[in-house]
Amino acid sequence: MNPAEFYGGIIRKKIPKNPKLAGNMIKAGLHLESFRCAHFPEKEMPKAYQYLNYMAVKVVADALENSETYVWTNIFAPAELLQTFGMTCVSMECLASYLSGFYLEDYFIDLAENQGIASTLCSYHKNFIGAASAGILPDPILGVTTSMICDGNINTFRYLNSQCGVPCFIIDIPHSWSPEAENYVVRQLKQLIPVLEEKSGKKYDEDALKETLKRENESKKHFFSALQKRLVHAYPNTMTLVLFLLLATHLNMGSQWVLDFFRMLDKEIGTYPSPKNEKRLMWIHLTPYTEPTLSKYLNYNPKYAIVCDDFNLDYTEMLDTEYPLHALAKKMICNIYNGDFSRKADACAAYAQKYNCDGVVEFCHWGCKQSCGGALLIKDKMRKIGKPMLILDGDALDRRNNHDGQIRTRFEAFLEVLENGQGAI
Amino acid sequence: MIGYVCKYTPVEMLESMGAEMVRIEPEVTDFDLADAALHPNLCSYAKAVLEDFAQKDYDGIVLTTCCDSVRRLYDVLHSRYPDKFIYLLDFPRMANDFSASLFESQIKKLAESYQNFSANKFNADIFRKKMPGCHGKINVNRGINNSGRPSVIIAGARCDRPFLDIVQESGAYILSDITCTGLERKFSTTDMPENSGQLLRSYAGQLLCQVPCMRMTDLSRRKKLWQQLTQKADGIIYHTVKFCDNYSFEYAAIRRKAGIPVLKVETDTTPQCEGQLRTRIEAFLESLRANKKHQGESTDKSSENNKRNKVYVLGIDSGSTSTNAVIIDGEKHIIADDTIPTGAKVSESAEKIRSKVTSKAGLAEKDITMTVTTGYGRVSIPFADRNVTEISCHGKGAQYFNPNVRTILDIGGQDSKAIRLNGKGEVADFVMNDKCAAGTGRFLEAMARTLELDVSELGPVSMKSTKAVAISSMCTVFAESEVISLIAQNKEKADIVHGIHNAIAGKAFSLLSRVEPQPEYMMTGGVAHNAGVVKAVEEKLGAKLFICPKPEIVGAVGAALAGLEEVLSG
Repeated sequence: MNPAEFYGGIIRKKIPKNPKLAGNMIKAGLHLESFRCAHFPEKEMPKAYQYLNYMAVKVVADALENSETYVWTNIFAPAELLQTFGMTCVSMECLASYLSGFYLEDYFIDLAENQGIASTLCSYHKNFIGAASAGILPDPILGVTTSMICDGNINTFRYLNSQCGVPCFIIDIPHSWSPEAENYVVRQLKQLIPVLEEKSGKKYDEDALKETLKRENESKKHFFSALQKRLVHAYPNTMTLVLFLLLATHLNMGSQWVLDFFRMLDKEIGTYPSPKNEKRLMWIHLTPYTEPTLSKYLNYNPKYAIVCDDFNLDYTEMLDTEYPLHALAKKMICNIYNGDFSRKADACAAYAQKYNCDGVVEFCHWGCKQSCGGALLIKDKMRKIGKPMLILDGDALDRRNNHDGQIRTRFEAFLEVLENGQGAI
Repeated sequence: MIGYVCKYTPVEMLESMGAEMVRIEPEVTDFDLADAALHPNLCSYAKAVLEDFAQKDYDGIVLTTCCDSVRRLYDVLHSRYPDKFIYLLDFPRMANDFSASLFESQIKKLAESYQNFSANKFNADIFRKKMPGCHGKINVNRGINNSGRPSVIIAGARCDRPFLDIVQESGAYILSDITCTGLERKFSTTDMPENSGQLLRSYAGQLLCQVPCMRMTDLSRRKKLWQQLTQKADGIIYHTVKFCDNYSFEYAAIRRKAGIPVLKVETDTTPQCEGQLRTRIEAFLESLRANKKHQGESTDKSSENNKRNKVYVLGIDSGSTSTNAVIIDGEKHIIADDTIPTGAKVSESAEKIRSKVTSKAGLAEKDITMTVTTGYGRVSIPFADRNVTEISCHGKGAQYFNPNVRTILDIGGQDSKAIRLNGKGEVADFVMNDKCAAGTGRFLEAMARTLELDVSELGPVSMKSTKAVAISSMCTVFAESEVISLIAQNKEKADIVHGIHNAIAGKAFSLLSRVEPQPEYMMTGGVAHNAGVVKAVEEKLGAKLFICPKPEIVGAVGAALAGLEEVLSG
């Protein structure tokens, strides 16, 4: 049993009778982990990722300590706007992942299901609902979610509003872009601003938002440059780091630390040697970071590496800093996950080609209908451009839902296909 | 013929353009095409629509952005049927002037697109004529129930006619159907401006102002409707569709707050669900009737004593694996009982056990005053005088063996259930496993086969375990492959069996948790013979389980008791 599992076992026993203590133990565990990341990072981990790892844990650990600035969001919420009010976005997906890091996901998922929540709901949502209703999470000042991409967003936040009394603000994002649709979202962002002003006690500062978007654009330039360099430089990563990257590309995008991280990444990646006989993979959707076989093959493995993923590249346009609210509205509506699925399939095919991927893996996460429902359309697209693609079914969070034997057979067979240079399977 | 699925579809507008609009109520028996083109884990209704669309002669379909599954259904249909009219209408989740304006622009685009497809133009005059547009759906509120039947509200995800038929045939009075398929389309032309340019704006606003579904942001009108309805109803039948999660949120809230009993039933839109569905609904209605049970029922003791003389009631529990029978006399004494495998034909095994158990009791068939059947096969036994669901029967049977029992866990051949009884021994709440056989007797049989053990050996073998192996999957198929890989890893058989029992106990505990269990606890069904499962459940529950000497006959005893009650009251 590893230390996190052991510690999680102790927390688990405290939850029913003393959820506050259990919550404090989780915060203490996160602080300890951020200390470890700062002082005893994994040896194979590049410096930029060490910084990302440290910040990804620290930001959340600190947010949980400061309930006056801590906001529950989903991963697509307009974090830039909230940042300008000094708020820290902690997404439910992120919290759910961290709780899984303590081996507690089964406990919270069962708790949610026992309340009547569908077992077929995404395990991130169930884990978060269970944890929030168990009373282990400090109450945030606000919940902000968008309606886009995932059915679970609105219902989860609304349910927690009724369960825990957390006020929630829902931003309805139309399916596709039009001038009317953009205005519709801008109008809602303008309605959100007074709520944020009231909760934070700060006035809206449009200049501060413009500066945030400038940092975002700058961060993106470095990110894309790093991805380009990754074509000719090996740069070790892990499935967990692909997920941590979402804290940079989404929840904290526009912050100074994220810009610092992308600068470091861009600079450091060029110092690494050329890859040798590396099979380059594009990952679609979530990485199941606890899955043993995939961890064995994809974490710090010079032979097989995830070089890009769709989630961290879901909106690649630069933002118009002159009209920041319009820019944020457009960013949400034009996310590749929003709109007709052909947009996403086209984008994935373009990334697979641009970043010279040998193969593509889509992980159909349990309960995520929007993603798994289109997996075959992406596969068709990849077949047309000659990129082998593997579709795996499993659960990116709930260890009980993964069947390592099945995943191993499929994944190893796929690697054999890649080694043999065959076409799409 | 243009199909549609969602109540927010501007049906009247398209009809005014000459479209024959058909709300899709699929009648499919499998998802072969949908599983191949979409994904098995998508909403069953969305998959059924794909099958239906492929089988029938639709010219097109108008879908809405109502949920993730339907959005992906659109993407797949759009790519597979380039020559048909496949349209995805986006509609806002808010209902206000601004969203109505956005929606107006969306439905105008739809009109334009349909015009390009059909060459038919939108005509304001025809549209006005179509506008009362009531499509004959069930009203939100059907008024006062004078039928004496329990009044129920049907809520949750869409449900089609066969579902409602089952509810009505089972003896319910449907007070209201507030699913999106039950709500009446009521739009007013009087509020619509003469100016045809403004006509669609008004229509868009009215479409958005229907009773909101769970997709919408503001549910206050829905909550208000719930408050009104729950005061008039005896119970709620809450329907969800497999892999549609949106309504489970409302169910979770309603079951806490409604103040009246709530039954959740899940279907996958295929007729295969019907048997299980009927059992649940009938059991629920039985419990509603018990709740309503009628004060002033006085009993004439002397006439009851007369009736008790020479009364013999036969109870038969026709389960998926075994058929159990019990004969009781007028004093509730068990005269004889027996168990045989159900085999391929329910009526034959029932006939066989009737003959066996009556001869065991030293009686002839003519001596049996009444025969009551229960279990899956209960409706297929021709000589039965009455049938009662196994939920009610297990409640009665459990009370017979131990009047202090308040919570029952029954693990049968292909389903498992948790039942909570009230202080009078009547069913207060119950839940059953879903269609999948995870955690049932069948699951254990499959695991025993994989381990090359007889199912009766599982209990004793598990007692030799020193450390349980974690079995993560409860799906019979996946768990089987997991067990095979554990065998390959040279894990001890006893530890694997222990792990299987723990997995079943986890599933059972989850079921029990959903009925707010209260002590004392009892386990019924053949699996209660397995000491390993009993121990694992007790550990998980933190309480002892009462097990009667023949836990498999509890349902049959309950059926016989239900018959005796009728004989004595009649």
